[in-house]
Amino acid sequence: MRHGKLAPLALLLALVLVAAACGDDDAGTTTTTAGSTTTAASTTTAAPTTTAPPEEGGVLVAGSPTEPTSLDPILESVLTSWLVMAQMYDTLIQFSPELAYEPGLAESWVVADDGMSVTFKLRPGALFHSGKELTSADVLYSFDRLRSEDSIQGGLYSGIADITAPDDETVVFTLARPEPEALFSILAVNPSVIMDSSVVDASGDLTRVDGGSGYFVLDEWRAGTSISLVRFEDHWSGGAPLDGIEFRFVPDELSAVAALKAGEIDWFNFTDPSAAVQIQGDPTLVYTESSALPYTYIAFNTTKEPYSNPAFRQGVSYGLDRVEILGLALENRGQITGPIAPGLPGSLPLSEFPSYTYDPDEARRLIGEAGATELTLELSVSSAQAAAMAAAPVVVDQLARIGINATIVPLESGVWFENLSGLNYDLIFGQSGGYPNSDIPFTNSHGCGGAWNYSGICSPDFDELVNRAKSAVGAERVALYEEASRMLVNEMMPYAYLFTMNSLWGWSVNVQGFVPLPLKEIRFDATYLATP
Amino acid sequence: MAWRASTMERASSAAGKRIKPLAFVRRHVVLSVALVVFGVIVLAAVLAPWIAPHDPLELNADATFQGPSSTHPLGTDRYGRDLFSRLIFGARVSLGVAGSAVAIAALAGGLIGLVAGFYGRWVEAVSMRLADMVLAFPALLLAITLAAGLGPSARNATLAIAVLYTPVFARIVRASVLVEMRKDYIDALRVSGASPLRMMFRHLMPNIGTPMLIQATLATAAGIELEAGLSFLGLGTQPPAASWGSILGEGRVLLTRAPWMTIGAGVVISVTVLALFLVGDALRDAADPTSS
Repeated sequence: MRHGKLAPLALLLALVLVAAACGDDDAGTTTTTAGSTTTAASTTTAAPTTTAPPEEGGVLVAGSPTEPTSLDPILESVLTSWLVMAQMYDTLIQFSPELAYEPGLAESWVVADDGMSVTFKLRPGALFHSGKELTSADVLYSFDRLRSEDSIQGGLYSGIADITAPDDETVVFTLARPEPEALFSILAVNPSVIMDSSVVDASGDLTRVDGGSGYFVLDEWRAGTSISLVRFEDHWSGGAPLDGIEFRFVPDELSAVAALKAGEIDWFNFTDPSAAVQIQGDPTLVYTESSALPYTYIAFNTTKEPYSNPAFRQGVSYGLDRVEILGLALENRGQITGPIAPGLPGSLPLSEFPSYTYDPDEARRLIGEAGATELTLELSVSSAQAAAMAAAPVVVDQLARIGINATIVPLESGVWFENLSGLNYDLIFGQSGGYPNSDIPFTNSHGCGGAWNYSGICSPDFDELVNRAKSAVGAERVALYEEASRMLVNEMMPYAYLFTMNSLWGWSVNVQGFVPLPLKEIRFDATYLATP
Repeated sequence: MAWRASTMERASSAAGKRIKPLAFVRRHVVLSVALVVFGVIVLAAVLAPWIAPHDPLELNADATFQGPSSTHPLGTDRYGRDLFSRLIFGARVSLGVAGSAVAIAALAGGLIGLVAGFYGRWVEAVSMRLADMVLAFPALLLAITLAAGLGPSARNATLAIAVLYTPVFARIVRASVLVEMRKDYIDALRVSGASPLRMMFRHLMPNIGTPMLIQATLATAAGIELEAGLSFLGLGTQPPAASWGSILGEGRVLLTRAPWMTIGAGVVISVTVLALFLVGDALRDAADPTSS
């Protein structure tokens, strides 16, 4: 009797176990791009190469904290999305590790004498992943798309008056003002990629497909798990050393530490020093810090009292002990900075900024002058920005010392950006774009009505000074930039500029040839895995 | 007339003599220890400003990541703040949030249960079905959703926990009321023309005190856990205020550099919750006439 009752149950259990064991072990859905995989992989390396890639190749497993929402260059501004896209697409020019401009899809260029236009010669025979050859029509098409209404970073291109293509290999950029330097820096950064119009025509957009010509081709996107790229054999450079890259999504920085130590991932870009330092001492891992241009700031909402009062803003600046903030929030992994990051034209020694010397008495005096004693305010911060989150309690403590009662309001990334751009805040933490050029921050972030002017500041005198600087050259230009910096910090202070943060990297000892740039751009075109 | 019977009085009436403290402790060792532990924590929370060696918000750049020492009994965190002081002030937050939440839930749930049990019919049906709907959700999930929706703060965490426990109290009070309604004195009151309000508040309420007290104890324990969970996730107490949960959250990333944060907060939460559970259990055993 007992056996009779037990047998069917045992059979059921066995069936369940067998079914589970035979089941597919990856839970995510698979998306393969139409056509590009087979085309790229099956073609043999054709064009003669200038530099032969090293024998070692390998597939780099790079950890990424966030899965991209899409891979369409005009819809994404998030760093983790560009981590993937930057490998799939090319720009006309690119940065060398020393931040000089190198040929990309453009082989050479000539700046007109009046500085109002730049003529680019395209690289002949450069191919897209689809097999189509690059022509000037593709460049025109790409910039139309980048400057369209839907493009999220369209404001970057406001200085371009017109783009024309006299022939298949030539593109002429005509500028609104004689600012060729600004053009170069815009063309070399992430969003300015050249896209394949035939792919967009076929798919409607590039959210899930590969319309690029870059070093790597989109192979597989397993939602929730990873995105895989393979080497593009027909790349104009001859091809990158790596056979492929797998971007694996790692939920948080502690998991990344564990994954690096276990060898599950080969590379990770940290934002939290507390997590990053935990890989030190592991003989299989390399921990690197590199200086970076993006800096953290606190924006004042200059459209509201008392933040509209320059005396109040100066007062707060005197009341911020930047040395203490950098020490406690980042353990000195960065540099205190003015509006222009150290090393760029227009950056000044901190001694030129009186309000950078910590002086709580002067702070109280100025705040009193602005009639804002015993003020209560909200300090908004994006919960996704580790440096800002770490700095917030220190800032609150320092503000308390000068009689300001601040409450920290952590916001989810999307909401934070809405509040920042919509001027819906009292004080808010932000991060600069880190462009290796002074024109962009001066104009976009600080100019009247600038695309990234998140403080609402407007000073016609300042705008006029900046315009003069943009038209000048050489030493005169630098001197004018410096005057503009001085004006920004000592008179205007729309943002309390704080510090740059060093980029923190952890990678396996097998990873070679990866060069961290001080910009937000991350490229794996020279990276390879040395065989262990 | 039924008198409110407290555990002590029942014990004494059973024994037939006046209760002696020492005898009580010897008979209920676990309960006594739990009561003392909980009492010490509550006392520490109340006396926090006087007994904490440092200001819990005071930053000290020269004293970051220190281990336990004479100046800092449990070490310091990444900002050089004294962990021991933060845990004591954190007790205020945790007990305050859990306590207020349970008080609100007991008040609201108690009223609902009282009315539902007394009037019956559709009032009872509707309110109990609503209670069932809330109770169907996993507790932490509902708390997270509410706290995230209302906006992260200690106040909204209190509200979220209160919402979570109102149906629990409603059901318990209703059950007690139903039991009482069957007793003769209710009929007597009805016949003598007592108003519903008088019957509910003057006569029914005193008799449901014990089940409510037991539930309140257990709910407070759960409330402390929920507040810790919400603060750990960043949905409860906001920085720089100290809460046991937020200290756990901060300590997670710093586990290899400042393990005493996780250990300290973890032990304090566990001990407090355990003490409360033991007290609640003991109360339940004492109130149950079938147990010895």
